[in-house]
Amino acid sequence: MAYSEKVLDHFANPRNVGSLDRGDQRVGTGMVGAPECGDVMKLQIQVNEETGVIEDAKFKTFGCGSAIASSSLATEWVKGKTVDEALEIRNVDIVNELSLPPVKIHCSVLAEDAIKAAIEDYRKKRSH
Amino acid sequence: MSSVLQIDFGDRTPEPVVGIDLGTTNSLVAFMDLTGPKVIPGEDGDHLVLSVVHIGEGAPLVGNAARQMLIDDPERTVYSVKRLMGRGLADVAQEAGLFPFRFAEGSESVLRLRLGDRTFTPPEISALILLQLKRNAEACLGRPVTRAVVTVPAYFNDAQRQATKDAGRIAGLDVLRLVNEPTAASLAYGLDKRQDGIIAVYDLGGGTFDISILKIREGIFEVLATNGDTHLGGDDIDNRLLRIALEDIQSEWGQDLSHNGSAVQLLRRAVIETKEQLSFVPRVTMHLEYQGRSYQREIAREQFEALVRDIVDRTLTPCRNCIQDAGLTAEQIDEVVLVGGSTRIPLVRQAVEILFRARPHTELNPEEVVAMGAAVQAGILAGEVQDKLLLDVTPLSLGIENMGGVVSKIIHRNSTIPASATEVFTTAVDGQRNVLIHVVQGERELVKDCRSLARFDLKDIEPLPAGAPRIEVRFLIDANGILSVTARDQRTGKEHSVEVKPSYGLTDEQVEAMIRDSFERAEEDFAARQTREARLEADTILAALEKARAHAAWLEMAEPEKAAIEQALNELLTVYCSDDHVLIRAHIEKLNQATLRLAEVMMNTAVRTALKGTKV
Amino acid sequence: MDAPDYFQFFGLEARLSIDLPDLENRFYRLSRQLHPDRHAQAAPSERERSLEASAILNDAYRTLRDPVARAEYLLKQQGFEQSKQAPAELLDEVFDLNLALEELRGGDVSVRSRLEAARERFLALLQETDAGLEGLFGAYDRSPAPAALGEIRAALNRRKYISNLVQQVESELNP
Repeated sequence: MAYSEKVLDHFANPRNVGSLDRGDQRVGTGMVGAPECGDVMKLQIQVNEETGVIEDAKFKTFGCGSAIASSSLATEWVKGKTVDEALEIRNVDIVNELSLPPVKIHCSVLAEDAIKAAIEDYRKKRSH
Repeated sequence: MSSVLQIDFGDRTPEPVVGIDLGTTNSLVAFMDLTGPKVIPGEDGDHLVLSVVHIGEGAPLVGNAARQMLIDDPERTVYSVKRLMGRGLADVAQEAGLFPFRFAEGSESVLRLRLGDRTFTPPEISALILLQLKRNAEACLGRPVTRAVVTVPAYFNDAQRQATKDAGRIAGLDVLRLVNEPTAASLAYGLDKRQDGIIAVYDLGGGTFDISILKIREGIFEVLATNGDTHLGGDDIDNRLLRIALEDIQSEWGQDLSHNGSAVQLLRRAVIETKEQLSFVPRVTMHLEYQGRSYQREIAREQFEALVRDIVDRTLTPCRNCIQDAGLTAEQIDEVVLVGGSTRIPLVRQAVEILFRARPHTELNPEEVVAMGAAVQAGILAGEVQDKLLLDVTPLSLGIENMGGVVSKIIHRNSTIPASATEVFTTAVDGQRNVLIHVVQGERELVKDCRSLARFDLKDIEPLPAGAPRIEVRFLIDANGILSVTARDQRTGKEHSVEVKPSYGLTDEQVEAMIRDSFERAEEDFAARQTREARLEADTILAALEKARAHAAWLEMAEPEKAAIEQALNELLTVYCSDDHVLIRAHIEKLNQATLRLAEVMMNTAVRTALKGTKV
Repeated sequence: MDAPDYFQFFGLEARLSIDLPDLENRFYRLSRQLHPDRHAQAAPSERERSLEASAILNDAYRTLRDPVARAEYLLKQQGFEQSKQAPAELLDEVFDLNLALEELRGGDVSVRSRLEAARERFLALLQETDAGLEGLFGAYDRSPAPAALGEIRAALNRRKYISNLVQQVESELNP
């Protein structure tokens, strides 16, 4: 068994690597990690405050290929979605899209958690 | 009471178990007499049997008798075969050029040596050496010898160990135990008699280097950690000197001798003598007479030391790692023992003294100490030595291949053996019938950096949705350091068949074929030997049962169980004297099945007894 | 043979603090009884049992003599699986650490001192966690309540995460 081409593609050419200004009111930052492998994932979104649409997303992940591919895919998916729509993304969708093997499912969970954490951070900023 | 116990089984003096050091350069056989371990000399009176085999037209020449053939017929004379055990062609690519013999086609997973018009695998060559040692022992003890303890470098991997066991089988020896060489040496020193403490055994042999650290307490020899290099030894030092001599000759004579087998062997002999003498005198003249020409060169000890210092230094990293793995510092090591001919080199002794800050033990002959230790271990297995027990470790981590070629470790290195681990496997695709498990040995994270050990195929899995089957796989490393794998279906509890495909080494069928084809066949009728071995096995189980019936566990057996055992016993006794080894073996197995629960109860009683008297 | 309870195998009560010299005595005594070398002359079935029992003995000893492995074993038995949650309060620092590691791999040697400082900080954290664990172990042994195990579970997760980090930094600094 091997990785799917999609995983390899996202791993070799990850989209949206980088970071956004944490201090910016429009930016939400999600930082998550997995204890067993030491993976850590930072996913940031920049939201248009009028439309609620995510205009930009960046990530930086330290971890295995599947974790990098999962977060790369997550940033692609959230862009253009509203915050509420982005919350609908489930790790299963990531698993199916990338054909992740069972041992790597936790990577997709991490990506889902990262999206949620980023949105939560953005909403927290707005409520202040 | 039945009449079983009155039956005379014949001569019941237990057959001897010998200890064998199957070395790169020399091999030895030893046994325990009433005063302790003794090395058995060969026909020529020499304790050491040269690990050299010549395959000519007649019977193979083995040992010192083959020495001259290294020069007269180098293409058909094998030396240092231990370096080839359990290896594939890619492993020996670097040194293949140094050997005068050639490798045949199909050597990828098991080397095949081309000697004249025949091919031999390393276990077959080693078997010939073992056979010589067996004969020496039989001549000395005046009785058949079929059981042995054989030593291996502590850092040998599974394939190398399996190859050594295969060699024993081909030679008609039941290898009761593979013992690690440094551990055997510590037994020979009887260090437990002196005091409890921590000892390090530094073993630099002809082709391998081992370091082991042991804790000794009340006769228990517990190995804390081991490390080493299976491709580092005196051979490397010889090759260094050899290369210099060849270069000299090339410039002096204008002749390249490096592809001339006889000349290289003559030169090798000169080089080894020079090396050995340099341990005792400060300067030596190395010389070669060849085809009327003569070559000389004086070598001072300082020059020699400068030449080989990096080889000696290469032993120090494994030593430091081993100390660290044992959770100790060098200061905590009470004593150091030196093993292997190469430890006679003063530079090696100095390096060891500096590292361990202790004066090493050298009282016993470093070339004989391993065989003597093997004899002590043989005594332990025969029940003659009661006060000592070895608890050894596995030198390399065992892992399985995960997605993406990543290794997940299931048994870590330096785990006391026997050791086991259980993993549950499932399917990835609906209706999948097979699961292939790739097992590797090594410390690195990626499969490609570890040593492939075998692929285990779980077959005939019930076709179910992906992820539904749950196959529990148990990995067990036995006291020889050899892996076995069993599997069972967690839902049904049924044993699951596992097909083993070793990455390096011979399959069972190949070994069987070699046993049939072995030189032994000419001397002895194969069937008669089978019968004799079957009776020996029967003796073992009969004696064990006799003992078991005196055991408290016997009383715990229900009457029908006892009756079943009695019946199986009587059936075995009826067929005992027949010449049909298949029949005898079938009844041994029947008796064995009948006593399964008895064995379990005995083992449980043993646990209870052991715990009795401990404060809880 | 199904693996029996490791504590019972050693004749011990399931406790998180163990008297190690006593454990070693028991291990040696059981080894003398069970080791295959002691049964080499026995029937195949007994040899088989001895191999099985001795493997379990060694597996059990390896688990019980190490405080963390022992606690993990007891937790697993009580149904506390390892959690997938990383300690949130450490994540920012871990992220920065990984950035520094990446720079070092990229050839920027100037981050070495930053990494060394990070290693010291994480080692101190590890010690702190260990001290905390010791207290938790003692408390559990005095009154074995499931609630205490939850706390131990969290502390062990944290410990595992930190020790992975230390290892990672270690291997980058001294390859």
